[in-house]
Amino acid sequence: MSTHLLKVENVTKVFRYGILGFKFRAVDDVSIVIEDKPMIFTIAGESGSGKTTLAKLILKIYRPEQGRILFMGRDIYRIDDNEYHRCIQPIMQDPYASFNPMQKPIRYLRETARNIAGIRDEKEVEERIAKTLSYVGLNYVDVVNKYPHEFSGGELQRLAIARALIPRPRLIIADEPVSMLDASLRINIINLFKKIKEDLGISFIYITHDLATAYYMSNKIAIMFRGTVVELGDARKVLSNPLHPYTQTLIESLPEPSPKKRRYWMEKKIKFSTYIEEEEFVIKGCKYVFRCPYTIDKCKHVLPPYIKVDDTEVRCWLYEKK
Amino acid sequence: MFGEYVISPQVSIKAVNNVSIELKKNEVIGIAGESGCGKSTLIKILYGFLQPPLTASGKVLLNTKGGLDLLSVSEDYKRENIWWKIMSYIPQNSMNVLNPFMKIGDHFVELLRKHLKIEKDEAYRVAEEYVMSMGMRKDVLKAFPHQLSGGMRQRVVVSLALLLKPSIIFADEPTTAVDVVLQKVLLQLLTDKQKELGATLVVVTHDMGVHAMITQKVAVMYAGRVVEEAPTEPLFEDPKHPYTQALINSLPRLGDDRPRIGLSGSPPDLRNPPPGCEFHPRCPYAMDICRREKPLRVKIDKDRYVVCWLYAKR
Ligand SMILES: Nc1ncnc2c1ncn2[C@@H]1O[C@H](COP(=O)(O)OP(=O)(O)OP(=O)(O)O)[C@@H](O)[C@H]1O
Ligand SMILES: Nc1ncnc2c1ncn2[C@@H]1O[C@H](COP(=O)(O)OP(=O)(O)OP(=O)(O)O)[C@@H](O)[C@H]1O
Ligand SMILES: [Mg+2]
Ligand SMILES: [Mg+2]
Repeated sequence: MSTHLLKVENVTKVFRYGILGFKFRAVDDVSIVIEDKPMIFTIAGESGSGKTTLAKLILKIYRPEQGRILFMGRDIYRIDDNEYHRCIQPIMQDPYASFNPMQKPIRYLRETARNIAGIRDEKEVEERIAKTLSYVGLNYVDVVNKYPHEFSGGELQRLAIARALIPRPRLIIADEPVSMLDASLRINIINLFKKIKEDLGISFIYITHDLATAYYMSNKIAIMFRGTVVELGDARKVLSNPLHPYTQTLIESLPEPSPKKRRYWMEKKIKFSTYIEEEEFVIKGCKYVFRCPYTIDKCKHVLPPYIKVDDTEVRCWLYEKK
Repeated sequence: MFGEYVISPQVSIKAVNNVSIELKKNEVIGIAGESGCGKSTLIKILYGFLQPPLTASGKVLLNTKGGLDLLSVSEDYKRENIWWKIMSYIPQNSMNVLNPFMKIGDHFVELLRKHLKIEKDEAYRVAEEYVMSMGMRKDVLKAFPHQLSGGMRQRVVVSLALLLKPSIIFADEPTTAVDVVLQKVLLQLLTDKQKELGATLVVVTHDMGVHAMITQKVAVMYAGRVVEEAPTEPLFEDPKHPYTQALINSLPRLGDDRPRIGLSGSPPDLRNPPPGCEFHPRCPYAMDICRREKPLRVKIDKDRYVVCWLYAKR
């Protein structure tokens, strides 16, 4: 059997920029591996870097132009949709958009139990739902008769998690699952993910731009920039010893809830370059050249390969072995 | 001050409830708290920007204008004499405040002509010089808002708010829609200009990291009230109100993976707030009195106040 749960191999997705604009690669030659053991794999990067597009490629919502995605060693397009979605479940960013406002969320949970988890017996359907709800900290009787607007954002996100858990998947893809929640509620959801990973052995792909929660909960991290993965490795290592100039800037920009770090944060200025967004999309070489302080001529022409430094992989010519 | 959204004779939301706050010169003040606790409403009242269904009572006194009460003057007066010149306001979701049919340059020219009484050509030249001093290329003036990236638009909005050198700047979640790198650029721009002008900057955000990096003083709101007010450093080191404690202690930090726990429950519905202290249903220290009576504001230290029965002197 395969030792990889999910393997993304050199995957590329092409979109058009605006209507009728030029073509660009929203996901560009991305390779990542999720090993077959419970883990949280974070994908981080700025807005527009291709995180959601990558998630949609994995969920079979988009089909890649190049490359392939393997689940347990099988090409995902060779796996029956129902079977695949029993194994891989999504949780989306906006808890209010995950549920139809006119329908009681319980209905959606029941449909998931019947159609995706494939439970036939009605009593068993209700049992599975009740058990899952109580696992995520909700109460079956409080949920059955309510419409989405009668839940708070945090409760709806728990419902979305319960729905994803009902088919007992192997992998959950959570796209910015806490960014719309208040700070005091976020950590509860994050802790729930950790608990699910530990108790149920389910792995997560956690998409975020919040590096502090990434450090707190993830095992591995991939940093994306303009469609490419620029750095990939152990989350603690990458976040405490970033190699790629983009990862470094990202970490230096992070405002930390410790006033003692203010002097350092204030003194480290970031140059606001009036770079041209469109040029970044189409350049042949490294897409960070317009903002990078270390750019050399080579960077503009050739996209660096994955270079291994210790156990981290980084796409930057600075680390080329001479 | 009080602020209420009157939806119907039966339904009204007390979004700002008995808040007193003092803004000093040359100071950055943060307003913190979760979604729906009344931060934006407080800012609108302080700016005197009252649109139905929002109604306000109390006083907003302006020292520079000899103690003028902003809540008692007409909107026309504020437009002519206060807004943009003395106070400016960067509203929440301000990416959308630019008029989509007006070029960026016209936004600047209009303000300059109105308040400096100068001709169009001269105003345009002033605008060009100004946008360059804010780190933008002067050709942004020729663009329409939709032609700029989100970050660029946000920079334009910030620049407009600073154009007439106001003495008080209100910024409501000025960086929520941008990524961390651009957030830092914008926050540094705002605080640099605030220092240069010796102005007061009031920043609303639920991101405690931002408060820690740029503010001197923070007011923490919960369910329409300021529950704690303190200089930034002691607030983070030794938060007093159980809500502030939970807010700060639950935050994950880079380089620290110790388990953190959050608050249970969620903020109350302001249509129908709980009796006593609004925080008691979620408070780990709730006592009998908290369920019955509203706590008073207690002074703990220099410039430190907390509204909580745990600290009441009996
Ligand atoms: N269906 C689409 N058609 C054309 N372009 C698209 C489409 N979906 C996304 N894009 C573009 O592809 C790029 C990557 O988008 P994507 O949504 O994957 O980014 P993201 O990293 O998830 O960003 P965010 O943090 O804002 O969610 C962006 O430039 C976006 O505008
Ligand atoms: N125009 C309005 N009409 C009715 N109710 C309103 C209106 N604007 C705000 N409210 C209500 O007033 C309360 C306070 O809202 P406010 O916008 O001040 O909160 P906030 O702290 O700024 O939240 P956020 O962090 O989400 O911006 C909320 O309960 C909100 O639903
Ligand atoms: Mg996305
Ligand atoms: Mg607000």
